[in-house]
Amino acid sequence: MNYQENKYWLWLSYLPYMWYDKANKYMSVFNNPEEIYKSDEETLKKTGIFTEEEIYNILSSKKIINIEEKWNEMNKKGIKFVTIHDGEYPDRLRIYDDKPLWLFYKGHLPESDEKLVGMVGARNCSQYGKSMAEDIAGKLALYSVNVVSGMARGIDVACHRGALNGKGKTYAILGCGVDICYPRENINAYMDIISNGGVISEYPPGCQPISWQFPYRNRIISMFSDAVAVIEAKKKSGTLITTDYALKYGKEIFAVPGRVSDILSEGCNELIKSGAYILTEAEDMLFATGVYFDDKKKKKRKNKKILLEKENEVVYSCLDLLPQSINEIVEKTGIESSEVYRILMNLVLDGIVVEPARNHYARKI
Amino acid sequence: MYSKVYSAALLGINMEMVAVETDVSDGLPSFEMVGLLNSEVKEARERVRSAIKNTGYLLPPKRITVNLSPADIRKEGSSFDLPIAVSILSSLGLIYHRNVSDEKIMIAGELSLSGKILPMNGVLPMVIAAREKGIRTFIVPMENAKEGAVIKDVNIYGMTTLRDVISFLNGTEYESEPYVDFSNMYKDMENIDKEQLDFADISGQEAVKRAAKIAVAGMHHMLLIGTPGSGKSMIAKRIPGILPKPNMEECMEITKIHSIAGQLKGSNIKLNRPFRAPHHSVTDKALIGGGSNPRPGEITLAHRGVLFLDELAEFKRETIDALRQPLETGEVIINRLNGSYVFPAGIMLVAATNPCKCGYYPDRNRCSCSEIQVKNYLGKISGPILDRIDICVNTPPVMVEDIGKKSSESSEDIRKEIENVRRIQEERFKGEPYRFNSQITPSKLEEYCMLSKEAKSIIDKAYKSLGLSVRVYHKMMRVARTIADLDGEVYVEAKHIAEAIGYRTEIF
Repeated sequence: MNYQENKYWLWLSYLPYMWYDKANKYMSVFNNPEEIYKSDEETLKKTGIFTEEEIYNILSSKKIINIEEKWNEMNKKGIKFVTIHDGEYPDRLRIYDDKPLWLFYKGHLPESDEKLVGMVGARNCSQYGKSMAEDIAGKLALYSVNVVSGMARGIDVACHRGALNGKGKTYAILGCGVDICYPRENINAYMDIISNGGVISEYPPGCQPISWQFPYRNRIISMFSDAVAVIEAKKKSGTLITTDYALKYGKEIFAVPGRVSDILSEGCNELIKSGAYILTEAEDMLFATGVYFDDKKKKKRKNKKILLEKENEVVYSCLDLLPQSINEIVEKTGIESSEVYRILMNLVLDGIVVEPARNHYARKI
Repeated sequence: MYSKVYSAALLGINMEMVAVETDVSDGLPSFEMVGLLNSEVKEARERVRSAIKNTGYLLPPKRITVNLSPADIRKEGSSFDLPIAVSILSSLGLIYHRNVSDEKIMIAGELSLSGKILPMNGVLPMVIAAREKGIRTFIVPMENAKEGAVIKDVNIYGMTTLRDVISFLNGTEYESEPYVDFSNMYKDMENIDKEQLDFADISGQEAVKRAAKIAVAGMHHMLLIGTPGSGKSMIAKRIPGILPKPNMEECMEITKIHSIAGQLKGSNIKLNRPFRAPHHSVTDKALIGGGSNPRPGEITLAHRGVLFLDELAEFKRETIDALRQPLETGEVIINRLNGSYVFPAGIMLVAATNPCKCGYYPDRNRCSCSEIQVKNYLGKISGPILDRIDICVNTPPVMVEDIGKKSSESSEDIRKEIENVRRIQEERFKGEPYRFNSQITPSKLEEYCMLSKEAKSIIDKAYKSLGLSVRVYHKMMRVARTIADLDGEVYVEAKHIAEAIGYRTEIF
């Protein structure tokens, strides 16, 4: 984090519409950003890679962008900056052609030998997807496998939550500046991720979340991960961009199966049909990350069967991961409704049943 | 010559005696009317002039002055036409003056140009108020005669034309409207009841029906959340049918209000509890009551019955917030320069809403609303109003197996159970200013809602882990009290409190 070494990189990152492929294009002609910064209009034109607009942007930005101010501001916010020339730049990214040339982050970057799994899914997810995401992410932490995701609503944030609850580390790749928490309601997760992992972005601080940036952020999720898991996805889903990249980078793809009739599982089932691994529990993914599979650990956790009183057991056995209304539960168990309320309330208070919507109950794994 | 007849002006839901005086004197021909008149009363001049002419009398070219006193009450409505006409005719000597002026006869009604008498609003409260002042004879439009005839010891004369009125006042015998024995009608109510909507028509939805039963038993306000077509409105419409039958005073109160609002529509007395369902575009004045001369709003028309607000989230926030005070006190107070008006508003509020914009959350195959959209949608329901709602329940889509299945419990059965619980409450709150479990004050909660040990541990645990407020804690105690009453238990047991927690209104 040396100002003199990095200031021209920082300047480059702040240029308008600085897509990663544009940066790569610039770097194929120039050795470093300093050369671009110091070139006059004639030299830039001679290279033939710049459009008129780009030249205008480069020249005018020298006046508009106060690099030192940006640098100080960044330090003040605790944001760190690495470029591919730094030793700290994650080695696992270096092998890819379309790697980001720089990264901003808060918290810390993953170690080079850290086992990482990318977990992604729909934003408008079901309770089933949410429970599965939290469960799998939490169990992976037992094997010191950490989770990379996008901190979006729904599945993404559930994955982060699961990893944090399992005392694992987790990394969020953002589609905006790392100083912006988007979506805002995830602010608690955002703070927790910074202290137990990091939020990472190729976009400079202050960069607003704009829709075209998110597909590119998915590429970085795939790059970081040893394997990519899709928890829930519709047939046409942004999640599938992540899996496309994962295929391109040669990562293993896992998908959580769902019922054929569930729209939110169509994408996953489609992936399985075309050869993705079936993911039903965290252990399924271990081989892809190269972690030694410890059968004892799994057994230990399986033995933690929930023991309930008889009547509680009757109600509990009726529940599954899909939320059911109290009417259905009463009908299935044949117990009087006020009694069912009592049992469910006890189960909710014990933390083994959740009430995701009013008078709808589901199991918690 | 001078003459004076008596009529009545509407003030809120009460009637005030008004004297209509006429003086006919020499001078330039004119027809003046004074006494703080609204424009429809001023227009009476033209109607009265034509009606008198078409009845066959001639208004002489003299100076006619009409005064409605007391002069500081604003006079509204068209019911002054007839008394003005009678007063003029009397001062012209066409009606025996002593027959009308001695505070024993009250006249009200609207006139058409032909001299026909048209129906009016508010006959019942007028008769009630005037009877207290000693008046026993009333001349009212024929259509309204039945309405007034439910009051004992009065002679109601229904008249169809101005000519009838003149000949009656000049001594021709007319038959007064026969007294309608209200208590007989009240006893016949069983027959009327059968036509009402029945809870047995609703397939499935047992949990919601139970919640409705609890809500009515303890007079808890209620919120139904559910997908479109799951029967929210169906259930709400059947709630008046399971409320205990109104007693005679309540029937009279309901009829009085409907009489003023002109909602009686042919029937002379209301024997059913009202059910009002204003559309969500309703203004706060229409809901609460108002206007420069205040008129009752929907909440007053629903007095002693059910006010149903469908699509609660779509109502304007200010409109819903205006309900806060009436829900708390059971009456609407409207202050105007010339005094404050009190309208009764003892209602049971039943509200319904979709769980999200599309209406299908949490069924993810049909609902694609994001979680934030769901929260925002329900967040539109203002907090203060949720605070006043004790029971919130979900109406899930009806399962295929349940369609067409008749429910075992009819409205009749449910009402009997509820009347039982009401009796328990009556006994319990003998020395208190309130009547229902939903009204127990926090200081008395300990006394009336004795929790069993297990119940106490559940509610304490829920308080901590669900992050509830003290207000919600109290609400749950009240609801649990009602549930225990339904079971006939003295102590509030664990299952009662657990069910009450299941009905909590903190949506997310």
